[in-house]
Amino acid sequence: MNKDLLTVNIIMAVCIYPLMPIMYFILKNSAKAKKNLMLGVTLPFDARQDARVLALCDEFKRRLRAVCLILAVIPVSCFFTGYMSISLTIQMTWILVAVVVPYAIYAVYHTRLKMLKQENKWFGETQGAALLDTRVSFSAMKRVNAWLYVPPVLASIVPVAVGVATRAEGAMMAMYVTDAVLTAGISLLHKILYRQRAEVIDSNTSLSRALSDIRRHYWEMTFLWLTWSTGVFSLLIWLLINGSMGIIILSVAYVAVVLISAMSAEFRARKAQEKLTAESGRDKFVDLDRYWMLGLFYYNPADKHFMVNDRIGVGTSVNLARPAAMVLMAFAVVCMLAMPAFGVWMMSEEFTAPYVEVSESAIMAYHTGLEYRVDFADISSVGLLGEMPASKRVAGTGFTALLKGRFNASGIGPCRLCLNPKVPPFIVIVTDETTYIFGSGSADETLATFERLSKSVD
Amino acid sequence: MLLEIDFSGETPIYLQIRNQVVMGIADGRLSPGEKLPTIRELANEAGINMMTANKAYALLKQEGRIIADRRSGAIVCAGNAGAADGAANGVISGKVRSGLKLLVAEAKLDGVPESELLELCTELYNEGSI
Repeated sequence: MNKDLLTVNIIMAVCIYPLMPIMYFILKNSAKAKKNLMLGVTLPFDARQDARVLALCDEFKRRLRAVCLILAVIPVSCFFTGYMSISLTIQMTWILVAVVVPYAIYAVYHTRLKMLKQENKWFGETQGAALLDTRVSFSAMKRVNAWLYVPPVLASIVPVAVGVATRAEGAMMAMYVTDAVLTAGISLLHKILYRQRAEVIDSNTSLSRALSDIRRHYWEMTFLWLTWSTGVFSLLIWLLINGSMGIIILSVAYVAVVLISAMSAEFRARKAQEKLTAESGRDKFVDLDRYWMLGLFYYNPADKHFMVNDRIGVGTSVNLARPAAMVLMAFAVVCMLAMPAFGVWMMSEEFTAPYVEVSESAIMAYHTGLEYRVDFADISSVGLLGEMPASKRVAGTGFTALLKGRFNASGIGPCRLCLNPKVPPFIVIVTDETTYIFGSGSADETLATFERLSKSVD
Repeated sequence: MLLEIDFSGETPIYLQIRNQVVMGIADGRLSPGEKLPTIRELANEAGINMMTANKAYALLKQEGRIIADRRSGAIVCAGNAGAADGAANGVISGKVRSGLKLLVAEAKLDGVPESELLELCTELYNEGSI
């Protein structure tokens, strides 16, 4: 395996692999009773101790563990493929599968538990009704000091200001501006909290207050962490911009900090919810199961809210009865499905052989279409290259079997490539502006084209 | 106090809120002087339209059950002070009389004995602290 492919595989593995334990632990945790919910089904206190319910939850956990272990092995196969497009396709398809399959198992067991609930009529008195406590309101709760968000936002603006003053390169400026906008955006996003509802699960006002307070606390902590880490990341990336390895390490560290802080808040909140609501469900309790399809998707046309609280933890979901939520969901589904489709496109790119053609007045390099055309009048010299030197991609495609676009080749400098580096020799065309290096699908083809080109140029 | 809003019920949502606040005051779950959520908070927490929440509060205010203003929200009244229909404390209003008349007629048609109905009325009247 070449070094580039190995590096890409390692980076991708570090970025996507945490998805599996996250999925496993989040779904496994949903089988533990909290806020009167088990596997997304609202159950009264007695039903939560029922042997059949506990057996179903245990079976779910066993099945989930087995599937996650199998799924965890799949990304390892990337290290045995010799091609980048195949490797990336496996990884992108895996992301989709690693999300869909565990949730499908959850949906199956949720449905089975719901059927058990119906058979035993374990319904709440307030089935389908929204409960609100007149003494608990989220929007009236104490808010975090907004000044705490200011330093990271200012830190993220520093690279933009310096970039403007020193007239930094366009791509760099775009990155600094993106980071600054991201930091400011995250800091503003925390305000969504105050549009959320208080957490009411039964008639116990103190419990509702405590649950709402837990949500507020962990939500604010998460967004403070996110804003600070994004602000600091923006600043450090600006300071380390010349060291590519430093940027990679920094990016991985940033993703790790974000994931750890978000997951830590989610699980701490869940633990507190579990502890506080252990005795709930003996009397009147909220039962909104009819609005939660498969325990995952909220659909309530009577609810004017676009965003709703997740049933457990501190996350939010959308009300699919609102048109904007449907659009958002459709967009998310398209994005998910686009990942394997993108992989297929990458493979077709990598395995389509480039070819070179000589006409009466120019040489043309083709791949999926015409990539480059160099008129004979512009050519200073032509030559053959037996081996492609190490080259760094500036813009374009850098696969194992395809180099296409702008590169910086060692010993040659800036150049434009359209070739399969595994199939030498390559035709080198030097013009006053830049150097072109082309190659065909086979050595014989390239040599024949080179002969024709040499005669035409002479 | 817990407000229960049934989205699929036949009773309009503003009336569900009004009825529950009245019952809450009557049985002591809402104390005189207690602060209720503002219209915005109520609409947000229940996931209902601000107009619906406003309609419920306007009705309660008109009946003298609450004092509401835009700044401090709504406060539960001690009695029916300020009731717009002119009902005075201790006197059965025309509204109560006509409502009760309908309920008695329905019970009569359903064959509920008079003694049982009176017993139920006494029981319901004595529920709570008011």
